[in-house]
Amino acid sequence: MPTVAADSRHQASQVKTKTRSSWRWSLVPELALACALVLAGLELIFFAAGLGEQEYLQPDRATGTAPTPGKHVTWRQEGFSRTSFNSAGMRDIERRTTKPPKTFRVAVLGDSYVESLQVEPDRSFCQLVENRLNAASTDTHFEVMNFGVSAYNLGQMYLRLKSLALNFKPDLVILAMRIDQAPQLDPYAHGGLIFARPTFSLDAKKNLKQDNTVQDAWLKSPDGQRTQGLSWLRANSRVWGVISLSVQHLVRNNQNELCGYRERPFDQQWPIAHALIKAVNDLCNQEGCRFMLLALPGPGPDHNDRQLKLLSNSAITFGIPCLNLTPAFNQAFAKGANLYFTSHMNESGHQLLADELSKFLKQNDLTKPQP
Amino acid sequence: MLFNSLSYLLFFPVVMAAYWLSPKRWRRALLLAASYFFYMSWLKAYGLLLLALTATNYLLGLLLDRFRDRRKAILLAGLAVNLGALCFYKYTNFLLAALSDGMKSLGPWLSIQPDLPTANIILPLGISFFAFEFIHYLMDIYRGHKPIRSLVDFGLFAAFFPSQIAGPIKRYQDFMHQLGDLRTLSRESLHTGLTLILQGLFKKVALSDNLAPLVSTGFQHTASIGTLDAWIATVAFAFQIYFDFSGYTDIGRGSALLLGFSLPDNFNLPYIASNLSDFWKRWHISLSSWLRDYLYIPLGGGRQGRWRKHANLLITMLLGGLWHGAAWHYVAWGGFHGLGLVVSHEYESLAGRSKTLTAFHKTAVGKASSLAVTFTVVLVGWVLFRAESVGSAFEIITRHFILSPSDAVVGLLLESPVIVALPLYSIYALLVNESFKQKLPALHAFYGWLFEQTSLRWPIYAGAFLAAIGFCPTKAEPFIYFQF
Repeated sequence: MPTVAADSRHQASQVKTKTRSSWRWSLVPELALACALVLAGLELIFFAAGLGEQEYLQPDRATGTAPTPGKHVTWRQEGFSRTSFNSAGMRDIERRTTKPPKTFRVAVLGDSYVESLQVEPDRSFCQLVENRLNAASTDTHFEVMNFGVSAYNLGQMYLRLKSLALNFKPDLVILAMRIDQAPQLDPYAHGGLIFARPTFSLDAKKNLKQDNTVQDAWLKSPDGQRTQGLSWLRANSRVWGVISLSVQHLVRNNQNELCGYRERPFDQQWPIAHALIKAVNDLCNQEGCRFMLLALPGPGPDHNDRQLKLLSNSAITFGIPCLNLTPAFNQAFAKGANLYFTSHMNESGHQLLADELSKFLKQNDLTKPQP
Repeated sequence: MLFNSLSYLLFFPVVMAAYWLSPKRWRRALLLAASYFFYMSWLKAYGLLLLALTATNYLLGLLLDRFRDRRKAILLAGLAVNLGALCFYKYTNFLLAALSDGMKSLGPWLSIQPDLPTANIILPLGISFFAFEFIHYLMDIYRGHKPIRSLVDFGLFAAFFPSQIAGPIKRYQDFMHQLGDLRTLSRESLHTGLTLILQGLFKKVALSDNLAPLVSTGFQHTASIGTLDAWIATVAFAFQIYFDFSGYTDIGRGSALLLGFSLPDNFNLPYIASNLSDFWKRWHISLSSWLRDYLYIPLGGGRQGRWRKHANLLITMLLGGLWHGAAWHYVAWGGFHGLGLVVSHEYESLAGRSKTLTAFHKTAVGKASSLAVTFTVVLVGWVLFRAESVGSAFEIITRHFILSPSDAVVGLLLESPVIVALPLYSIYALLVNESFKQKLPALHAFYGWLFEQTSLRWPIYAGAFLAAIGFCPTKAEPFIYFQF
């Protein structure tokens, strides 16, 4: 009897192993199909809700970072907008590089203030200025093109002009800079994708010198390799966007990625900024387009007097028209106007900026091609 | 440690694994240690308060059983300890402010104007809940039930982390019965527990937290909101608090189930209640049944005539309101529900005598109007509950009826991912609803098949988790009931 019992136990265990094994193998395709269905469902849900779309910047050889062409972004971090970057990676409608006849093109370069993800595209100052110029003109069609990219410094604006904006043959280039932010030109090796950008310095003869060391090092680093390897997912998958954002939140809670970043004093960096403004001016002269500077104030009453003075001196030195928006914004603040969400302009801020810029363009005759 | 935090995501699997892998005789001690770790991760010192209250109530329970002839005095001592702790931590500043206001209003007749200080007291998390559990324990022993003999078991009943901070308010007899029968983790419990946790997480982070900005915009900018804004903010709060609290309960119940315990349900579709009594049988069930058993019935309940019953109802609901928070608007909310219950009972008795009204309430229009009226009354109550003060509540209620253009809350609603999350959850809720399943057997069968597929279950769990994470706004909100 014990032998029979042992045999039957052995047989039962063999049957069990066999069943378990076949059950597992049949499960694999089912599981794969289920995973694919769930992922597809999630992609659909996140698409409808506009989630997981925040990773729109990708590495760019020329400028360090640039928006992914064609990427759809629903922006909720501050303000709200639903937008698609065009095929050139601009937060703008589709623009052809060949300029249509009787068209005056304005290229606006800058950082997130120009990019304006916090407001809907038709409420951004670029669009508002375009509408105003077109409403006032009968014979010329105006196109105000938005080349702004989040976190760009002056060096990157110069590179974006060279590598992209000039292809569209602009008649006027506007360099819109936040006076406290744009001249931050110091290299930083541990800041991730945003800081993996070309940097500039001055040689002994005060000539501008481009240095790609930080950018190249990051692109070769595991973080850089991973970002490049995942470029398809980053551009197309909202599920990936959600996972990546969650991981970023966890990491951000534990470490401040910019904890080692120390800015040199503004005065020490200004000579490079000055040289970059000269470089943009030279480039515009060479291409036969006009050039102006637009100094944007930060949130709240601005007191960057020293910085504004340096910018104004540079503008006077090179004969560049310069619109300083600080007085207009301060006046509005004094009247109790609310022009910002937290650190970026809201619709009222864009409206005021568009009013002032349109007025300035007309007063300085900047809406006509270079004679 | 919040249920919707990374720390809980790490804490719970570790506790669960240790619990099931350890020998049965160690499990209670292990859960007790985990529960104290959970509580003390917020504020270490208050672990001592919980310990002291637990030890005191444990001793009082034994004394109540031992000295039956002096049970009234012991019970009163127990009530004094628990209500004293609750009042000290929760109501000291409220009482001081009320006293100060009273003195100011008597200003012209008083020669001195004492400036009463504000006490610097941090409200211990969950004190309202475990104080009520202790009172229930002592009152049941007073009524003849047997006390818990083991200090570890009693400590676990008091500190059990899945229900520690915001309930459900447990009954010790149920809990002890389960503790005496520590089981193995069944497949069904595993899946039901996981489903409850994921459902609760989605309710909290995808629904409640996304409704929060609409509510705060509406309730904080009372002067500038329009008619539609006021309505949206109010309805949004009704759902925010429901998803928040029932989400918390779901995660707690799911966690308990994964440890082999079954906690009582706290909600049963409260917004389809046909009258206010029905609402209180569906909303925060463990609190309303506690108030019934340990306040309303001891006050005399409905046994001493119609007007006494109404008075008892009013007292119960006023104290129920005050239990929620030390502010007049909570008292007003409780009083409003008390009055509502009185009116509801009177109407029911009137309708019972009228053939026309009885017939009307059996028609579809009658049933729909009952639902609509109850929901509207509950909404008005929620305005009192959510507003910063009674004055601001009246201001918001007025806004509902003065026609003015809306922009702030409407705009936020159109931008919010809740517009997708809410229909998504509604479809799921319909699919799992029993009465709906019975009406559509084909759908029921499909749903049954779908969740019976082993290969589908785990991807669906992962998908539900990802969906919850995806909808989670950047700013995480604490559970609303944690402040009570």
